[in-house]
Amino acid sequence: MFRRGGTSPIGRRAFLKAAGAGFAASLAPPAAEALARSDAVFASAYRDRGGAFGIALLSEDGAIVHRYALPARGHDLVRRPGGTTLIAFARRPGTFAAAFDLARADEPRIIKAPEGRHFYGHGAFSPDGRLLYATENDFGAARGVVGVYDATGDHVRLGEFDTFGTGPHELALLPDGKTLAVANGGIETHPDYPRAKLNVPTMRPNLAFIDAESGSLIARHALPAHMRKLSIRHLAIGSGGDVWFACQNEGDIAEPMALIGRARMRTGACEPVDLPQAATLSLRGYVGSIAANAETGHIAIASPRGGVALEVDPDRGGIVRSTMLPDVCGIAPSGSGFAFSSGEGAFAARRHRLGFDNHIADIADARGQAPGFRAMR
Amino acid sequence: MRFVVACALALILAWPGASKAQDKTIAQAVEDAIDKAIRPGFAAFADQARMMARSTAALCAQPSGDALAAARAGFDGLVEAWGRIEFVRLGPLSRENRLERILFWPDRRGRGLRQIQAVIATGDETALRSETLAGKSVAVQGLAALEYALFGTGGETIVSGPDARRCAYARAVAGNVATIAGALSAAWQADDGIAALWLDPSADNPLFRDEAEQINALVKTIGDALEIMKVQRVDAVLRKDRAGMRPRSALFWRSHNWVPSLAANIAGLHALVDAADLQATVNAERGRFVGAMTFEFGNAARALGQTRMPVEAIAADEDAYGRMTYVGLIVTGLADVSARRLREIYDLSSGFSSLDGD
Repeated sequence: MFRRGGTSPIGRRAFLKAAGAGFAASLAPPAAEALARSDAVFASAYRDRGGAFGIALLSEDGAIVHRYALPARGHDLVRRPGGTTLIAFARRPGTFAAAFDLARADEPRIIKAPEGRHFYGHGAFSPDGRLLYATENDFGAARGVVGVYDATGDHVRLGEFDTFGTGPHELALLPDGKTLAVANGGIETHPDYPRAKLNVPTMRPNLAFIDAESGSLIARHALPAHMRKLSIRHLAIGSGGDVWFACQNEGDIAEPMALIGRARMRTGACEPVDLPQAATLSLRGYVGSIAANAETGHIAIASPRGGVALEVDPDRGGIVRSTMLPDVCGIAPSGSGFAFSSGEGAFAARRHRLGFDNHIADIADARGQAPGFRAMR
Repeated sequence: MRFVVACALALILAWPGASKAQDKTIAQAVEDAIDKAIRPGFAAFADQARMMARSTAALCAQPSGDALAAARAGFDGLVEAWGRIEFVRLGPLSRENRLERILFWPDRRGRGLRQIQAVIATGDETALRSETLAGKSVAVQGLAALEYALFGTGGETIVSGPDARRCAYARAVAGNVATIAGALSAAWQADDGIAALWLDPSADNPLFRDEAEQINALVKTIGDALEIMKVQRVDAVLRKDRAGMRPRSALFWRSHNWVPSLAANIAGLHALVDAADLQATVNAERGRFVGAMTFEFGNAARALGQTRMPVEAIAADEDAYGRMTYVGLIVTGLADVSARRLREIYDLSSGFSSLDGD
């Protein structure tokens, strides 16, 4: 996904340019100063102590630059490439996405999921910013779909195509700009029984690669049979364009099982990636987010259930850094490392009286694509 | 009524926190929860499952109205025993699809029911023996299947038919449930199993690193149970008003066991909290909050006790519907305060990012 690239002052300047003078001028002086010092601009959904939901824009060191209200709990966010629109997706099984114009103080425009669909909390823009893709649940048929929206105007829904799986969660547009990777978690849910998992014994997760233009399936990878209770949920584009995926274990979490994996673009191979057993067990069967740092090539994963975030060097196969932080989940590349956030209010070096949702979006860098990518066909 | 519940819960929330007293350690609380509630609960479930297997075997050997009534009564007892421990999903119940093999529910698209009906209609031989049934779809193996065989459309043909095939299927399901229940109980009784892991936190322990993870598992068990009750078992049935009620979305509606299963859930949670004696692990001020929880468990139990009637009858009775709404409010309040206040008391993270996934 675009935002998963590294960050740079260029990103922040580009963000400010895109957001316009009105945005910077509207900020309180401390916020404007924090933004001026920052190399990155992050966004994250939150819940405040009073139970209200919103999204926060933050500087690289975690200072809050601006806040926007949301009607209910948000999950992930994406910024329109080169533009001022920021989309916040409702957490599943929410039926709204909120479109904010960073250059204006207007209320967000609410994008409603059509009848019979709900959002899964993730989406991506096409490289030219004209289309918005969102993972959705066709819950009557227990079928994952990608909803396609016209991002040039009022986000009219243009159509949908199959994700070739059940329970899609995160999707990412590959650096070729035309292939979508979709994490089909395999778990059937229905709004009649909110958040109940209806098919765990028979779940069939997969990682699907789909032609974003035609909606046709390019490739689909399943995990080995003994790992089929690993719900593939989150994605990051690593150096070289490899797609990293992160899972949550719906089986017995006392049994150590690789919770991350990689689809190699050059060879087409897709396989789990083992970490040292102690590290795997520390994740308590659940990885809530994954990110890649383009500068170092490192991958970071976070487990709020284990209260631990791990930075992994994929070339050496080892843990570079382990960070214990209660309810840690959000991750974004920051300089040569990673910034983390938590449901307890931690964000990078700061702590707020907010609970941050599971993801951090780097909204400064709405262009970045991992170098050296070759599309998998 | 809503006002009373709201006031009671506001009172709970208003109690301030304070530092911990150590009359009882977390480890002792967990040990008591295991020894006094969880182990006896799974043992009772295993006993009930064995009795159920015997009563269905007797029914098939000599079909009669009395034998059918005995089997149906056995099912009621099995539902109650299950309801008291079904929320202890940590460890043994999460392995080998045991949870779903005992109870595949909700069966939202009716796939499980169609499979059960097909087994009864076609007499699939592999579904008529518990040994081979265990290898089939989880949907045809457990309590939902047993309920349909005994109480569902045509259930009386076991006696009037007599429908040997249907009875053989009920017998196989009961035997299968008894086998799983026995394995669950054995796993909990074992000295080197899940109990040992829970009682002995360490850096090498795959589930419990420290005291915080020990108590978190107990608090999460309580909170998850209340959340499941609220969302899946109560709200999905009661809906916004009596006119919109969905009786057939109720668990065990065919056997009139919706209310008894909820009562068993409440009783099991109450027993778990009492066994752990969580009040003794914190100072008096915080302990009052735990006491307020048990008070609310009592209120819910009383209301459920006054509403022992089929779910369809509740849909036709404004007072009964009101009582169930009251139960729903209590469960909602308890779920909310368990997810927040109980976690605060033990200095646990709020679980905003972790508790029920993404």
